[in-house]
Amino acid sequence: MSPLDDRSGERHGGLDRPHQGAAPLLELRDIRKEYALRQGLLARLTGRAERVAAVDDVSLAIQPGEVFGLVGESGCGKSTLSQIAVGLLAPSSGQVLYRGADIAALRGEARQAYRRGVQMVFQDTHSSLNPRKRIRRALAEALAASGQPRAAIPAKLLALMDQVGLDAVMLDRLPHELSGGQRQRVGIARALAMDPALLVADEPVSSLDVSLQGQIVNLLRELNARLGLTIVLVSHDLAVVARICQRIAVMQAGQIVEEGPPARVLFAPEHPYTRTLIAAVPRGLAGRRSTREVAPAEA
Amino acid sequence: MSPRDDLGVSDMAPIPVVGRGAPGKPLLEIEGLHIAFGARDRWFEAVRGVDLRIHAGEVVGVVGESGSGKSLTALAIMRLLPRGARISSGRMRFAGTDLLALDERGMNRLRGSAMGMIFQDPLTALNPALPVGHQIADSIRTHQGLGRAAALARAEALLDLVGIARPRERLRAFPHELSGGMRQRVMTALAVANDPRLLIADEPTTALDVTVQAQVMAMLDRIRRELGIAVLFISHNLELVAEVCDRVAVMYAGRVVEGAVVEALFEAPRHPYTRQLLRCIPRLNDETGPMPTIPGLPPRLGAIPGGCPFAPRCDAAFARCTAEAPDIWRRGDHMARCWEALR
Repeated sequence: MSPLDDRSGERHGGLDRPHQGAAPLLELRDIRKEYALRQGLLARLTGRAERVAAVDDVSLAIQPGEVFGLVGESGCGKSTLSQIAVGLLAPSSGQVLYRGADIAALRGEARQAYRRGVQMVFQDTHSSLNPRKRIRRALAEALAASGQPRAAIPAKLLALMDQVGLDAVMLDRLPHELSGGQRQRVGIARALAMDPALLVADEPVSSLDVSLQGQIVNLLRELNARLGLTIVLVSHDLAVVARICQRIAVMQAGQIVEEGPPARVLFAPEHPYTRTLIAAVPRGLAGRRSTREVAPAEA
Repeated sequence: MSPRDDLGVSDMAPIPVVGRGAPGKPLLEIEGLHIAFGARDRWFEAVRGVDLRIHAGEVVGVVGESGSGKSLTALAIMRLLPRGARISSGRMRFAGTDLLALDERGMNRLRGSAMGMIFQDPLTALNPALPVGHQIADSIRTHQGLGRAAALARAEALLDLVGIARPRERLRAFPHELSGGMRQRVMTALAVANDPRLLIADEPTTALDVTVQAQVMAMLDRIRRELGIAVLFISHNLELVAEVCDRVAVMYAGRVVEGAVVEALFEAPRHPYTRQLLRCIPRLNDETGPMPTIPGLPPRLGAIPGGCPFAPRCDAAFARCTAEAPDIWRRGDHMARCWEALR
């Protein structure tokens, strides 16, 4: 039994812990991201094009050490929001605060510290790893970028591989020679190379088979427990998120419609959309004959 | 989709049919299907002896993880295998016709008429340059010889059948103007346009959100009841399969490792792979702690171990499992390819 197996009282730590006193690691304040709908060039230039908000006034505070889940269906804005959190996208309005400082105002060393401190793991391991670089090179470049002295890199590579549960022989493989699960471990290792404080994982297991999903999810849990790594898990899979997160937020149409500990959100959902989402999850034999159509599809 | 009283399970003797016509022959019967990938003298078997039977009107699920051979089996029935893959041996009979003896013209008459198929990605399966109404009408004209106006009227009725609101307007829509769920409905309309007896649905909801998935599954269920068609439902999602299928076959490394009526398979699985897979499904409950997993990886094509291919990952394996390919355990219409079940 690993120390992880004992989770008594751990699950709702996010609630029990007095967050009010602690400063959030990352805070999103009134974040809004708008896109102009594709219309004529003139309409866009004159600013008269219709605009749509992918993220519509979202505020969130991620506490150090927690595993936070962001759930929603495609198009709800969860990926846009995570890209804003890691600084890949700039919000149309609102602030992102890392350790209390507005990232838009960060310069020099402080900006580097944010860049390294907040890392992302992507869903598609095919397109997020360079197909021509061996794993050794992909990870070594990340380590070099994190400021590791060259001499320390070989030992660090082995430590990283060990941390994500990969055999060191995989270092000499190309991405296509690995399975999807192994590639996702490499994606996580590359993020860890930066020695981050926060990992934003956008659908890290949705392209994996069910027998392998658990391996990656458990790895994330373990990194949280062992390194105190704060994790934002973005997923469409309510069941996975509920299992490992201390707090979850449900997103719909750019807004967070419900937030709370998983036990509360799953068993006493307050928002109708959360209830719809829960009802739509297939339930095996228990769900037989429960599938009934309601109305003709409009969209 | 009960009553499930007409069930004959793959690898099993058919049970007499009650209430749905004569027992007789299955609609589709696959025996010892082998599919190999490769070129010249290097061939790897991806499907290694699949037996499957589907009776008229029943819903049979084939579940498995990527690489298990479930989609190849579905494509082989339609004789739509990708380049580089070929049926190396086996027999497939559909409604009395030997599918492997048909020439391309004969197959074309079957595809889209007696057998319809829907795929995971409707955007690549539909023609992006033609309005959806035309695509459906074209198929109707080809197979039924109807005139243009009559075919379009039938296409409109089909769009209505698959639950698309304002079907007349939608006839003129292009695939890219529709949402994923709507496209899957259009694909279904196309697949059932010429009164098929069998609908093959290969991961039809995998690319959809859960709420849309629930709607599309409900639509498919209603349609197959209304039209009385048999469905072969290919999926990696066991929970979804349990909701809609009469019988289920679980595939691993190119073989059916367990087959049974749905209740037996989910309530009393005999193959450790099925049991371990069922444990892995994330469910909406209050369980905490690490997620159950199956250690290791499925075998790679061309590197399938001797004995039972699941043995290296199995939590119940013993010496014989790695030494000898397992015999088949049977009880009534339940089968499992497993030494542990035979003990």
